[in-house]
Order: sequence, then C-alpha cells, then structure tokens
Amino acid sequence: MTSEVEINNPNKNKMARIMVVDDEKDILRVIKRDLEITNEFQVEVFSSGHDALSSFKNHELGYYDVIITDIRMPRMNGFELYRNIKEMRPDTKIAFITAFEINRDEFTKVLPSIDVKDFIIKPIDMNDLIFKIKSMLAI
Amino acid sequence: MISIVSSRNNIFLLILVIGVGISLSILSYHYSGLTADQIGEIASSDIRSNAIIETDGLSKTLLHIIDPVSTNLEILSKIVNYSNIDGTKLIMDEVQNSTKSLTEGYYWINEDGRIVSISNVNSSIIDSYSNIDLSNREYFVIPKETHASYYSSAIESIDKIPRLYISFPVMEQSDGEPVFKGVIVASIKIHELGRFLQSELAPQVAGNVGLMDKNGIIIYGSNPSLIGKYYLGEEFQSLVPEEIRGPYNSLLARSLQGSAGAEDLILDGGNKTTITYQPVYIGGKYLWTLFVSSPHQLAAEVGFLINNQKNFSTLMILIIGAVALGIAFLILSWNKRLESAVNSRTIELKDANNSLIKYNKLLESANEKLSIHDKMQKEFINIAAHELRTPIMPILGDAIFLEKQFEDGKEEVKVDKEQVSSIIRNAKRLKRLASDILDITKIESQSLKLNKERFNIRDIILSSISDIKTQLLSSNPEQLENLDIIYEPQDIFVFADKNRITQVIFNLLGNSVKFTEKGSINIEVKIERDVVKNIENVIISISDTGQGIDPDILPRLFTKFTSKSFEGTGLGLFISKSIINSHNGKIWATNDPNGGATFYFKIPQQ
Repeated sequence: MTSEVEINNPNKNKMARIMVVDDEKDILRVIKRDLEITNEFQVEVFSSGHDALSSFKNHELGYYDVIITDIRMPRMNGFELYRNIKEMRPDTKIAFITAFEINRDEFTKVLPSIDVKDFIIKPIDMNDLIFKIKSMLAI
Repeated sequence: MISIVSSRNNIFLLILVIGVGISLSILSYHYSGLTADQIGEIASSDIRSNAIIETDGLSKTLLHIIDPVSTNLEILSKIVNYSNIDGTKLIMDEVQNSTKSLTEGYYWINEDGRIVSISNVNSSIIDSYSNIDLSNREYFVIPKETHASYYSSAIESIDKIPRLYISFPVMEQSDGEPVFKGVIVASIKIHELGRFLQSELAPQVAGNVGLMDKNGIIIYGSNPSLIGKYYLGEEFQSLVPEEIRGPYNSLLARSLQGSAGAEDLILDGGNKTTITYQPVYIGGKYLWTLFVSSPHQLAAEVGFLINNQKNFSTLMILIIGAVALGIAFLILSWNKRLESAVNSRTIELKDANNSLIKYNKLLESANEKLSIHDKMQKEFINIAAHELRTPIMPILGDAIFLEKQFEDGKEEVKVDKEQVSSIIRNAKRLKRLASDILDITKIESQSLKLNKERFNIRDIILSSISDIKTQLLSSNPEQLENLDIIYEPQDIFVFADKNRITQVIFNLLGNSVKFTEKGSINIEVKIERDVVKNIENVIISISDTGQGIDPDILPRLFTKFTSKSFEGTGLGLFISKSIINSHNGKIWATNDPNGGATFYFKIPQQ
C-alpha cells in the first residue's frame, strides 16, 4: 500500500538513494542486489566508516535519503559514523543493522544520546528492511 | 591509642588525689594552728580570770589572818594593866597561842620604849631585853604620835630576819585627855606569812605570791633577798629581765595606785605570765598590794599539746593521703590491667572483624569474579551471536535470491561463482566458529582430551604455512605478495597431540598474518634442555614485523574474547593457551623493540 502511494507520488518518483555501510563484503553484495532489484532504490555501498563519511561529505546535502550502517566495524564503528553525520546534518535518517544480541531498551540504555528510530538485527529479512526504509522515507 | 588516653586520665586523677591530699593537709595544719592559738587564748584568759579570783581570795585570806592579830592587839592595848603585869602576860600568852601560826610574839612596851612583857617568854629573858631602848622604832614612834595603829613594812632586825610589825597604842584617860602609855606590838615573820599565802594559793594557778607596801617596798616575794627592797631599786631591777623591764615597772607603778588589775607580760621566748594585783585595805587604809604571778604554763602546755595534736593530725592526714594514693594507684593499675584486658579483647574482636572483612572481601572478589564471569558470558554470547549471524546473512540472502528465481516457474536458474564461493566461505566460517565454541566448551568443562602421538614438527608447520597461503590467496592476494613467511625446515620429533599443536601453530600464524600487512613472518624451532626437570623442551617462536601487540591488551592476551581484530572471535589465543597448558607447556608473547611481535610456546619433547 505504502509503495503504491509513493510510486504514485510524483515528488517521490525518483528513486531514493540509500547508503549502506558494512565491513562484510558478502553482506553488502546481498543487500545492494536485493534492494536494487525492487527498482525503488539506488544503493551505494561502503565497506568502512571512513569511506562512507568521505562520500557523505563529498556530496551535497540530502544526496543520501537513508543511511544504513553496521555497528561493529574496524577503525570507525557505526556509532562514530552516526555522530559525525548527525553533526553535519542532524535530520539525516540513519538506521543501524547489527548482528549483536541487543534489544531496543539495552540500546537506549547504552546510547541515550542517540535517537535510534530503527535498528535491524542480522540476518536481515529483506522484506523487513525494505518496509523499514520506506517508513523512514515517509516521515 | 586507648591506653594513652586512659593513662592521661589516670595521671590527671593521681594529680587530683595528690592535690586534694596536700590542700587538706595544709588546711588542717592551718586550722589546727588557729585552733591551738584560740585554745591557748581561751586558756590564757581562763588563767587570767582564775588569777584575778585567786588574788582576790588571797587578799581576803590575808585580811582574814591579819584581822585577829589586829583585834588581839586592840583588845590587849585596852586591857594592859601596869599594875598587874603578870596577869596581863597570861592574857598575852593566850593571845599568842591563838595566832601562833602567824605571829612570832606580842610585845608590851611602855611609854619610854622599854619592854614590859613578851608573850610566851619567861621573866628572866624579859628582864634581859628590858634595857633595850625601842623608843625610836617606827612601831613605837608612829602610834605614840598618831594615837592610831601602825602596820609596818618589811623590817629587818639584827637577826636578818624580815618581820612585819603591827602596833597599837596603849592609851589611858587622864582628866578626859588620852595619854600615851606605851604600845602593844605583834611581830610577824614575813617568811611565815609568805609561806602561808603561798600555801593558800590554789595549786592550779602554779604561780608566785608577792606583797608590796604602798610605797613600793617589797614585803614578800619568791626571792627572799629582795624583801625590804624598793622595786625601782638596783637590786630588784637587776633581776627583772631587760625585755620586760619597761612594761613590768609601769605595771607595778599602776598597781600602787590602790586598785586591782591583771596584766599579761610576755617574756622572751613567747611565754606569757599574768600578773594580778589586789590592794589590801586594813582598817579602811590602803596598806599593801598583793601580787600573784601566773605563768601561762598551762596555756603553753595546751598549745604544745595542740601542736603535738596538730603534727599528729597532719602526719595522719599524710599517712591517709599516702594510703589513699596507694589505693588509687592500685585501683588505677587494676583499671589499667582491666583496660589492657579489654584492649586485648578489642584486638581479638578486631582480628575477628578483620577476618570477617577479609572473608567478605573474598566473597566480594568471588562475586566480582562471578559478575566478571557473567559479563564475559554475556560478551561471549554477544560475540558468538555476532559471529554466527554475520555469515548466515549472505548464505541465506543468496539462497533466498536463488529460490525466488525458481518461483517464476524456471527449471534452471543461473548461479554465478561469487554466490557459490560466498556460500562456502561463510559456511566455513560458521564451521570454524562451531569448532572454537566446542573447544571452549571442552576446555571449560575440563574435558579437553589429548591424543598424543610422535610426529615431526616440520610437517605441521609446512602444512600450516600452506593452508595460510591458500587462505590468503582467496581473501587477500595482494597481502600474500607482500608477505614473506620464512621457515627453515628441520626434522624435530615431538610426542604430543598433533591436531591440537597444528591448531596452535595455525592460530599463531593466522594472527601474525592478520596484523602484518606486509613484511615477514619468521618461524623458528629450537630444543632447550630443562636442567631442573631433566627434560628436553621444544620451543617454537613466530615473529612478525607487524604492528605489534597493543600494550592495553598484552596483560590479558591469552584470556577469552581478547581481540583487536574485528574478524576474530577473541577465542583463538585462549584455546591455544589451554592446549599448551594441557601439554604441561607454556605460551607467551613479547613486543619487539623494532616493531612487531613474537609469540612463543614450548612443550616437552617427550
């Protein structure tokens, strides 16, 4: 239903650009493929926080509609990336994906300063991921 | 600490006791002194009033004994009869007998001053005195001229015995005119009078009696040589102690004014003497002054006694004080012993408490260990979850992707190589993790069994190098080109669990590769003799030129979940250590000063 509304919405007719950050290349490959196959999203993947941040800086504001990042990554982890991006553009929509055994309450407890709208536990059901990205775009 | 404080209290208490004791002694001494003075004063005033009463009584006694003599003389003067001399003498004898304790005798002297008769003396002796002319004697002249009685002062006769004479004139009426017809004289030996007065004095007074006439001539005194002497004369004054001469003389002068008095004289040395004087009036005429001197012997004695008492009391107080002090000391020392007993009990309690605290600490540390264990357990679950889920996602993703293509009714779908490789790679990763977790479970349940056999170390090192290189070739061919793994093969046999030792070598080698982007890894094997245990050890070292071990991690390098890598489980080194420990060996690591790290392990060769 949502997808129909959005497809019919001329402003949103252009594909949403999604940034996906994860150090697992196999995961990036699967996510990129499964999102792009819907023809609703244009996906750019980065295997490190640094690469992702520099790309974010190198593009104009609002270039990425949604950012999805892993938490546990070498050198710059997902939280650091989140902070850096939020400092530049507080209204950027960011979601976390993690394989950690963690629930929403624990997440808020550990990081009360981070307003986490959504975090997604790996392994990801692609239908869930698509639904979550769409609801984030709708806000 | 407690004992110091309490001993300070004890000292304070001791000082208090001593202070109170000393002030009590001083007060009592002072008070005793005051009391002694007061009692002395009371005794003195008592002595004074006693002396006054005594002197008054004595003067009355004097009058009382003089009075009969006067009466006798008066009667005799009226009844003497020149015509009956013998008859008169009989009366005179009788009169003398009645007053013989005082009077020496009664004399009848005619108007020419010749003795007519003497009492109690026979006529021949009287005759021998009859030619003595007594007409110039005062006791004859004064009554002859005044026609009144006469009381002499002390008069010394030729026999050197001082006497007192009382004479009455014998008067005869002739034509209505009184005519002097001689005198009746009584002689009193002053010694007798003095002795009498002295004997009449109450023994308590313990004083001396003195008698002086109104002109200041001494009639009687304790010193016989002064009788008849004037009080201001040289003989008397020379005997008066110089320090009291002034007051004494003025006292005597006052006493001659005809009134009674009592005055104290203080002699050298502080002894007091009360001098009481009382005028003696005979026939209404002031004739003599009677003196009683009362030394304050009693008062002095009272003072002395009180002083003794005072000293005794003070001594007693001192003794009581000393005893009290002793008792206080005993109590305090007893207290101290009690205190030390309490202290030792306190120390015991403290020890007990300390051991409780120690046990509590042990419990706490056990709890801490438990909570650390909990945390580690949670961390393990977390890492395990992460490591398990991560490879599942690409496997599942690819599999679902492929399955979806069949849904379109296709019999065959196209599979590219990357999809297959990814599935295999990730499945292997899961297998590795499963094996690690299994090992950990075995180690933690202490059921890690070793299957020891004799094998060549060279073989397992070479195969490990080969495996690593194969792995790198697929994952990071660029690194493989830049990395040099150096090993000089050498046949060294060892008796151990071949698979487990291979696992350790592969793990250490894998770590080195992980942290050495480029450079070299050097593997060396040596044999070392342990002299103490008398065995041969095989030492294997793997050195790299990588980034070295993070100093933060170094102390807990071989514990669970210690990892600087974001790929590893943090279990490899823990498992390696457990394997080497099971072989009675040792595993350790050092950072090289020039960069890079070296891992060592040694196990017994046999």
